[in-house]
Amino acid sequence: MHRADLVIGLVFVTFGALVASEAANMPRYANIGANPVTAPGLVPGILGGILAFLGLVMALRAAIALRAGRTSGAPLEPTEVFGVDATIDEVPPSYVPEPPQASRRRLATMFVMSLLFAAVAVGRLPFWLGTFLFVFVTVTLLELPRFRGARDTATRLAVALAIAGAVAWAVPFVFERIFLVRLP
Amino acid sequence: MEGLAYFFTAIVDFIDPSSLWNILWATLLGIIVGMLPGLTATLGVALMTTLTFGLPPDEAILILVCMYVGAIYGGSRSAILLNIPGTPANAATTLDGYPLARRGEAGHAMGIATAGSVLGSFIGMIMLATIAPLLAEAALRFQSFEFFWLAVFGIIISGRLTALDDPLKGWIAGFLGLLVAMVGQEAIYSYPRFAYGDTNLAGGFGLLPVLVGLFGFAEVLTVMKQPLAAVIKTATDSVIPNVREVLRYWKTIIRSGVTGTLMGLIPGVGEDMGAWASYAIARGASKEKEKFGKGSIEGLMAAEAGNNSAVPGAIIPVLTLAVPGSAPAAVLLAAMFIHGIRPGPLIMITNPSFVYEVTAMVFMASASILLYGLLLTKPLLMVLRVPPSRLMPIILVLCTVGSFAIASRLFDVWVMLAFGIAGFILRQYGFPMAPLILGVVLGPILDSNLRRGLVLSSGSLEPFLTRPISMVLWITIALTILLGIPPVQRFLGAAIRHVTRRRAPDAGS
Repeated sequence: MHRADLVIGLVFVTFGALVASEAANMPRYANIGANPVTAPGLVPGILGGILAFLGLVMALRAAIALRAGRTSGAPLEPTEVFGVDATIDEVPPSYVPEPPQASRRRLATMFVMSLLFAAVAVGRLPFWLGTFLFVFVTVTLLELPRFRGARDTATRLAVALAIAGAVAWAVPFVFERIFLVRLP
Repeated sequence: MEGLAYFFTAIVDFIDPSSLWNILWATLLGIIVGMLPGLTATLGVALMTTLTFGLPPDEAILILVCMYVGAIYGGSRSAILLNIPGTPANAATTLDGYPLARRGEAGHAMGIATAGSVLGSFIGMIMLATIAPLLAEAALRFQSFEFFWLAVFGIIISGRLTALDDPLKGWIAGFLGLLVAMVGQEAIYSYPRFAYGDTNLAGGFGLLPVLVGLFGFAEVLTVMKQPLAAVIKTATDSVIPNVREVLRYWKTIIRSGVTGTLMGLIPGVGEDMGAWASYAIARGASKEKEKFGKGSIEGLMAAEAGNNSAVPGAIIPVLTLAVPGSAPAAVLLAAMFIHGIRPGPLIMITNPSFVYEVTAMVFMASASILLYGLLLTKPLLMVLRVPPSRLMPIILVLCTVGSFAIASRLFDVWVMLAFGIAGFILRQYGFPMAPLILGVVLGPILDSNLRRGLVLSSGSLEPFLTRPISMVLWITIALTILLGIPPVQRFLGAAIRHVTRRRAPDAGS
C-alpha cells in the first residue's frame, strides 16, 4: 500500500505542478486595467499548488514508511468510527468461493464491454440495437463460467436474450415516450 | 404558524392521484435501488434526475426526494440479510442487524429498521422545517468572505470525516474535485480554462455525468471485482414492528434523529456518518452496552434513525446555502438548478413555501416507506436474488442514458466513462468519493467568492480572517487539519492520558 501511495503521491505532485504552471500562463487582462486578483488563473493556481503539496506529503509519508520497513498502510475501509469497531470482519456466508482470477475476468469483461458500448456503439448504432447487443453479449460472457451442459447453456442464453430484448425495448420506451428524454 | 400552513397546503396538494402515484413508484424504486449492493442513493437520484428532466419542477423534486429517502431505507435490507450494506449509509446497520438475522430474527430486525427509519425521518423533517428558515436568515449576513470559507470548510470537514483513517486522502479527493470544477469558462471574464480550444471542454464538466461516472460506472466495476453472492437468506418471522418495543427506546430514537440531522447538515458528510454518530452516541448512553454489536435492538434503531434523519438534514444546507450535505443531496441541488429553482440564503424571501414543500415531500416519502415496510418487505426481498451479472449491464445502459440526457452531448458519455475509471482506481487506493463530488459542487462558489472578496477588500486578506463568521470557520478548519495530523493526534492522546492518569490517583486519595 505504501508503494502505491508513493507512486500516487508523486502523480499528484506532477499533476498539481502542471496545473499551477498552466494557471500561471493564463491571461491577467492587465491591458484592460483588470484587478490582478480577478485573474482567471488565480484560483486554479492556488489549488494546483495545494494538490502538489498534499501529494508531496503523501509521497514523503509513504517513503518514510517504506524506509522503516512497513508495507501496509491505513486500511481502505475505516476500522473505527467514533469509537465504534466498524470492521465487518465476518465474510458473509452468501459469498460463493471462487478462484482469484474469476473476479479479474469479470472486471475485464465489464470494462471492455462498457467501453465498446458507451464509447464506440453509442452514437454509431441505433440505440436499441447497441443496447441489445451490449446486454446480450455482456450477460453471456459474465455467465459463461457457470454454463453447465447443453440444457443449462440454452436456458442461460435464453435468459440473456430475454433481458437484452426487454432492456432494448423498455429503456427507449420509458425515456423517450413517457418522460420525453432524448436518447443518444 | 405560516410555515405550518405552507406544510399542510403542500400535503393537501400531494393528495391527488398523480402525486400519490409518483410518491409510491419513486419510493418503491428507491427502496429497490438501496437494497441492491452496488447501487447507491446518489446513483438513483442522479439517474432519476435525467428521467424527470421534462417534468414540472415540483413533480421532479418530489420524485427525487422519494427516491433519496427510499434508497437510504432500502439499504437496511441487504445489511440485515447479507451483512452487506445496500448503501454506505447502512454500514452501521450490519453491526446489529445481521446478528439478529442469524438468530432467526430477520423479520424482527427489518421491522425495527422500518420503525427507526420512519421515526428518524420524521425528526429530521421537523428539524428541516425549523432550522432551514433560521439558517437562511443567518446566511443573509454571509458575504463573499464567508462563502469562500464555507466552501473550504466543506472540503476539509468532508475529507476528514469520510476518510477517518487517512484524512489526507479525503483532502486530496476534495481538492481534486475543486480542480475538476475549474475546467471550462470562468464567471468573470468567460475565459475557458484548461479547454485547449475544445468547445466541449470550454463548457466544463457537467455535475451529473461526473456523478454518474463516480457512483455508477465506478460502482459497476467495483461490484464486478467483488466475490459473487448467491445464497440469499429470507425472513420467516413477522416484519411488523412491536410498538411497545419501539416506544421503549424513545429517547434513543429522538437522540439519534437529532444527531443524524446535525451530521447531515455538515457539508459533504451525509447519511453514513449520521448513522455512525447516532450509533456511537446510543451505545455510550445505553444501559445495555454489552448487547451492541451482538444484535441490539437499540443499536439497530439508532443506526437507522440516524441515517434516515440525515436525509432531511443534508437537504437543509442545500435549500439555505446551496451547499450539499451529502452526495445524493449534491444531485438534488443540481436538479433544483436544472429545474430553475434557486436555493440559497434568499430562499425564504423569493420562495418561502418551497422549504415546507420539501418538508412535506420528506413526510410523504417516510409514510410510503412505512407502508412498504409493513406490506411489501418479504416480496421485495426477491430483488436480492437478481445476480450482478444480469443487473450490472443494465445499470451501465442507464448510466449512459443518464449522462447523455441532460445536455444531449456524447461528450458527457465520455466524461462519465473517464470519471468512472478514475473513481474506480481512486477507490481501490482508499480515496473517498464524497469530498470529490463536494469539490465539484463547491468549486465555482470558492472561485467566484475568493476573487470577489479580494476585489472588495482591495487585495487584503484581513476581512477573510477577522469577520466573526469567517473567523469561526477558518479556526474550525485549522483545528480540523491540525487534529488530522498523526503526530499532533499522538501528542494530544499522550497529553490526555497523562492528565487522566494524574487525576486517577488524586481521585483515589
